[in-house]
Amino acid sequence: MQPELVAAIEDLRRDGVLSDAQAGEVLPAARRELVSIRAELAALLYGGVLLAVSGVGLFLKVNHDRIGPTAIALLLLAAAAACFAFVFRRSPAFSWGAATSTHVAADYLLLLGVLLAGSDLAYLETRFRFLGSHWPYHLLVLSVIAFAAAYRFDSRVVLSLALSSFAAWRGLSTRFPFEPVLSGRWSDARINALFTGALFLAAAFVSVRARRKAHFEGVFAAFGWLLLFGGLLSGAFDPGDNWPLWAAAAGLGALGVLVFAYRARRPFDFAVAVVAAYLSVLRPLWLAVGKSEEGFFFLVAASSLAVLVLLVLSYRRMRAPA
Amino acid sequence: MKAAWVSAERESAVRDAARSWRRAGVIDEAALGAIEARYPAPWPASSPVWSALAFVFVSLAVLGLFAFLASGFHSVGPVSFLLAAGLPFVTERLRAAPSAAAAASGGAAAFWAVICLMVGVANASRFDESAITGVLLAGALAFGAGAFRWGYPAFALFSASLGFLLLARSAEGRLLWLCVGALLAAACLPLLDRRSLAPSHRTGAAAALSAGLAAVYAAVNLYSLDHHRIESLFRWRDEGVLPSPAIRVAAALATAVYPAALIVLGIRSRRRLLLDLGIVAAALSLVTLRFYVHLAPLWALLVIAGAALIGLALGVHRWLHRSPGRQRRGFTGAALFEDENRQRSVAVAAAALTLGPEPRAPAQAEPGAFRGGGGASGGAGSSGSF
Repeated sequence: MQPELVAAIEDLRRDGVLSDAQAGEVLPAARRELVSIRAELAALLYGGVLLAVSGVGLFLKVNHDRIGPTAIALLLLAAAAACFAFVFRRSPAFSWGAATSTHVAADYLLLLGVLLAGSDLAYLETRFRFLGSHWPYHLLVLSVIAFAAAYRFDSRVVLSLALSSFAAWRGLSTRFPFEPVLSGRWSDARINALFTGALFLAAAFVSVRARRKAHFEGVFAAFGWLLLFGGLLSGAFDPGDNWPLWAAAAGLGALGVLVFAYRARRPFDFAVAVVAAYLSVLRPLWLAVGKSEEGFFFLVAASSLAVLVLLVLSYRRMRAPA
Repeated sequence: MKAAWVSAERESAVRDAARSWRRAGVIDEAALGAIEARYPAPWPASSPVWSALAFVFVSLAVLGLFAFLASGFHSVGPVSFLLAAGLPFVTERLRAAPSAAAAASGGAAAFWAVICLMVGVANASRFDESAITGVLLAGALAFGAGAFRWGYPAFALFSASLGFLLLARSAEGRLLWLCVGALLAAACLPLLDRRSLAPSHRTGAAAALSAGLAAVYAAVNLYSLDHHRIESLFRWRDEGVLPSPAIRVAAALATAVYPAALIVLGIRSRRRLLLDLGIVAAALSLVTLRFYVHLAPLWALLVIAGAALIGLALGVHRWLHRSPGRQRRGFTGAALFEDENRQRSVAVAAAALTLGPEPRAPAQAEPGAFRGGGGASGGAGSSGSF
């Protein structure tokens, strides 16, 4: 129960700010007479998907030699088809806009269906080696299936799977794009990261301009920025001689995104750009203090405080009504 | 907490609720404007992105300053106590700032103040084994004081957790976890609805309640009992004393009954927190059962458990949806006034982090090896190697 809210609703009703009907609608939730368990249902569904796909993965690992490939492939296909059928029956017709109402389980069963289809694909590829040495192409196929499902059933969750599958096909991880920066590897994947990041950002731009699933833009942009800055920063921390160019590109790019995100009031993009800008100046700072640890620690503290001041000032403007 | 802070927090809770009513279409813009005008006191809005950013950069600033000063003084102790004394002033100044970034910076400063205090205490005890008690005690008290003064619910959780770690150092650690956990839960439960408390203090009480109930479960869980999980927290050798059969039977029963009791209590009192803790405890009890009883191969259990969870969620949703008024016993599967966009963003992030495929390996696959693309934890075999 939220006691101050209950008291406020009663005051607002008494003073005519809320009608009796409006107060009657919001009061049960404030008094905890009516409780929504939608988040719990979503968590159960997500946990179910996670356990089921892990179990299927283990099943394929343990049993792929004992059970016939046809039986396994058909079993996975049937399970995926059942998931798609459930989602198809409970989803509104296709639209380029955002779906008005969807079933609580639609996103998760669609995700399960796509993952099972992906498992089937990977299993068949392993058994029959259709793609030969080009086996990573099955990730592209998985990505295409996930894209189609995401667009048909208006699922941002499945779109994120499509993007991470596409990135995985290009040898990239979307889980922690800055990890290669810190570990000092990944130089071979840099061009892929830049290309894939730019492609996702272009998709974000086109989604909005063409008004085709414009609400997907945020997902495209988030993956795009992470990969783009991951690629640029991997160059900035490269042991080779060209690192100043990469650091400058990362810094300038981050500055551009900062200005854009500040004007457009986009907190996530702003956050990614702040972190990228900060990382891009770390190496020059280290050199500027003559590789002195004391000087570097001081500069880290001072620059972090400067960033905090920037954050506080930016927040005011970005939270202000447009 | 200062009276002005409590008042501002209460008004902010009403404003937030009014915005959720507007999102759900219950009230119009005029009503929202009128409510915001009646409850105007500024209080920081919660924002995960800004909070995370602020925490990262406050942490960098504090750690940079700590390292700089420590290398200057050639000593950790004075610097730790200096920062532990100075950072709370920053928190005091920023706690009620209307900017989420500033308020989150205050929270991070308070967090590092406590950590610095713990480091200082450890240094004063020369980082030896006996220092652990002092460090845990200092941390528990300081986090508790921080939760009381500034109303950070996470601090209440940290304080309770450090307190239980401290109890684990006693020879009767398990018994203390059981008794103190139950007492803490019993003390916190009535506070959850108490009007005289600030909203953040009520949330802090909920956090302490969670810690207490978790401690009770850890004390009675059969696996924890058999493997001396509490006793071995600070003793790095297994004493090998087996519990008596009667205690084991009682623990086995408690492992089964405790989660069910929490779920029933959650349903009867319509408290989601108890329901959620019950669900988590039930999952842990099933894992415990699997450890002792080999019911089926792991893959089959995972598939069955996954299907059961999905089936349970669908069944409950259907049951609620078809009930009169789409609700039963005060529960509904509808979103009410929650921000569905935020929930969906969490789902997108969770799927991207846990179910996304591993990147293709740079080298070519060797013939015959089962390799593919897909998640590490998920991906259903569409990834990694089989």
